[in-house]
Amino acid sequence: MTRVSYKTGRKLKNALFVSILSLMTSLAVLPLLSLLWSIGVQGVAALVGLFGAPLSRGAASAVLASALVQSLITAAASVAIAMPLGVAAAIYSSQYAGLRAGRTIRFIMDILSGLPSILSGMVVFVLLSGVSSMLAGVLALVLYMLPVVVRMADQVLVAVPVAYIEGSLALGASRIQTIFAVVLPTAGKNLVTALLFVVARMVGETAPLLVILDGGATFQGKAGFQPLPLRLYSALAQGGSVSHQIVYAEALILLAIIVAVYGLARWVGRSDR
Amino acid sequence: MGKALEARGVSARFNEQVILREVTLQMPANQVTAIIGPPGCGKSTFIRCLNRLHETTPGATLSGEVLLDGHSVYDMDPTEVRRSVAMIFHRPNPFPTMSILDNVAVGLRLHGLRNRARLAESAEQALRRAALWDEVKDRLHLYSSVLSLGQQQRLCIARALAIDPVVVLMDEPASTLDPLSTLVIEELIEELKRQYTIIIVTHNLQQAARVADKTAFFLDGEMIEQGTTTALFTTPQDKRTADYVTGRFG
Amino acid sequence: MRQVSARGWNGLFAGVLAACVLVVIGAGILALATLIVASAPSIREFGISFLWIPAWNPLHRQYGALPFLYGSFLTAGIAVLLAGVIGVTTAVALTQIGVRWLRSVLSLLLEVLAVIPSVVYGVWALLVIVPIIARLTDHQAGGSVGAFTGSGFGMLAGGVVLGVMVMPTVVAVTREAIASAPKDIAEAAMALGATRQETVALAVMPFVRKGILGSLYLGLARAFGEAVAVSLVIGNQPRSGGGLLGRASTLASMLAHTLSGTVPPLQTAALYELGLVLFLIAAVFYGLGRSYIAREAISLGFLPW
Repeated sequence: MTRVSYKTGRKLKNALFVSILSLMTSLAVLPLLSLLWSIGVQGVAALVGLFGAPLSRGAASAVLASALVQSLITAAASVAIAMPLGVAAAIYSSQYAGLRAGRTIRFIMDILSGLPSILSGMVVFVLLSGVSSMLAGVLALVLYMLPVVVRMADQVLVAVPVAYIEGSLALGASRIQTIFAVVLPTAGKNLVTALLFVVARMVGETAPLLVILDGGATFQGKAGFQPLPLRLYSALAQGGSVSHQIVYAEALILLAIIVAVYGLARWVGRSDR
Repeated sequence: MGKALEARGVSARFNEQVILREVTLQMPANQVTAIIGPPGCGKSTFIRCLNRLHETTPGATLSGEVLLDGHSVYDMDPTEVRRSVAMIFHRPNPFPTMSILDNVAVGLRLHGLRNRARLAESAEQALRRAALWDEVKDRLHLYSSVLSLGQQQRLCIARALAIDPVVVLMDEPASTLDPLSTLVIEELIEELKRQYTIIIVTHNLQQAARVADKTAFFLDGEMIEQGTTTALFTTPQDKRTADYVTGRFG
Repeated sequence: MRQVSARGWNGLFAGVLAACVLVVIGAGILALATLIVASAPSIREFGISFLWIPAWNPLHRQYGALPFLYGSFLTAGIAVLLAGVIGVTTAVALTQIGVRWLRSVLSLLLEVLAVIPSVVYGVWALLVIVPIIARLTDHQAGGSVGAFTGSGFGMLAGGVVLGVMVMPTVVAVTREAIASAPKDIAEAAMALGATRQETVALAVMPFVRKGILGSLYLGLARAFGEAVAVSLVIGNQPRSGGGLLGRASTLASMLAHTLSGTVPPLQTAALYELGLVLFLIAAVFYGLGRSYIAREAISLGFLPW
């Protein structure tokens, strides 16, 4: 058989392929590096500026502290509602629902969890007829988060090997005993990881809070219910009197919190090999 | 004609795990060399080092030398090595997105042959050598999935032969096939060794005894013993070899 | 099918869990119903023509979704084009070339990109993207958002920031698709002497097309739904036409920008109808994306949407 060699062309093509891939990958990470750099630099400078000057220190720390506390309370409250409800629903869809019911539930959760977050704020705004409070904010976050929690938890619980479950049932354990003694412990680490990812995503979520802020009077800049992401957004969109320093400092703090929660999730979910 | 292959002190790892330790083995030209051993002894990894496929797996590293007709394959371009040292896998893996003809022609196309008539001619020749031509000549343009598993494996052999290699590596080529297809493949090996050097990994001792001129026994990543097939099976020197070939373990 | 014992605690437990499922699904239905009810006046007034009324003019009580559909489709198109080209090639790179430690570091970085909140993307876009676009184009359509003034705001800025936000999804899904492509076929190609590039073209890409398509639909859904970052950089001007550098509005950015409770009732209803349109479009794109991915049995892992 004939050997037709055109080695050089192939090598060139492969080299071109590798360089394009490398170039594109660099382009893909560039935004993150740019983001960390710009917000890091501006944020640190702002923090130094705010806390370095005795005059601004008190005001700045009061503003930041109140925003932080509001953020944490909002997050904690919505987690406290959404997680138990969502995980319970996921236990049903993964352990009790039949094949078809499970698939249907999963499909509905899929669609719901893909919906734009801003809609949940609008819906809660209508339902509470314009009442604005931390409660409204929490409800909006819960509405947005619930299907996501169900989907993520279901995905983890479904991955528990059927053999374990059948082994437990074969020993005469009831469904409840099996769920608490076998399913949840087996899924445990991954479940916590999945839920922490949801928390990381939720802490920075702004849109659901947007329209319920102060009876919707976002741009009048009233004080009141103002968790960190919301403060950031209204400061940016409202402009004028708000100092850039506070904005950068808040962005940096928010970013740090979220990266920390993300890191925690990764740490919990690390494989112990 | 086939060419001789020689491994000198080949060691291989996946991450921290040592798979092969200092394996040295001569694989003479135009002979069938069988590598036998229990699962996990490193025999598959060994032949994957011979065509430089081992290094394509993430986490894989290796050391030592592999000589093809006296030239180190680790000094050559890997694509050229794999062109000269073809490989048949344990599960038939024809390209499911291509026709039977394209499956055989694809290697030649990769290596630069464009002429349609010449491609068809070479493909026919390869299919004949793989004893598949008569079964597929009327349906060359159908997808490879219409073939039986045994036919698919012979298609893979035809695909490998089409690029005109000098060595053919076979990684348990009959392990997923029925006895009849296995017989066809074994007869084919007998036929092919006139033109190629063949190295076959198998955990089937009878198969090794039937097809191989030379046999090497691997255990736990080490080459325990090698020799002519007759010698290794009838008068093994090492007790572990004796235990294995008499069926006391593995 | 796992059978449920209907007796005693087990039955009660299952019942409570089932109730939780119904609560979650009910919340979704309630949300849809609320949007429909709240937009009823606008639906009555404009009917289906709401979708192609080309203006949003509170003075003349004329409300149409066309400017926002225009803005949404164009920005999402830019975003998915950018994220598709860069994301897919990056996913190929992360699975096919490079040393392992570098691959895992880069994968980790791209995952971080997925959890950064949109408002932080907004700050970054104002700090970096808008000035870059302003410098590259000396068009005079200046805009301002709050304390940030000058040019550079518009469709392109919105599309670019969306592209960055959508990219982690594309990378993650494409990577999963490649991971679930049959390895023995790729090895067959390599064993024939194919180069990396040839192996990818011959034995990897044919198996990941649907996965990539799914990832692009998911990206589209996310790009449509993203409100906060876009509303900060797009210039917030509802109009059809105006090109890449012109200021614009998307469905979601309009909602983020103007829902303030102090607007006249009909405008509120029209805003809710925009929300309804957004709901339906996002659901269709998201559903399409998920079904492609499910058909290819690709797991989304811990990707939080």
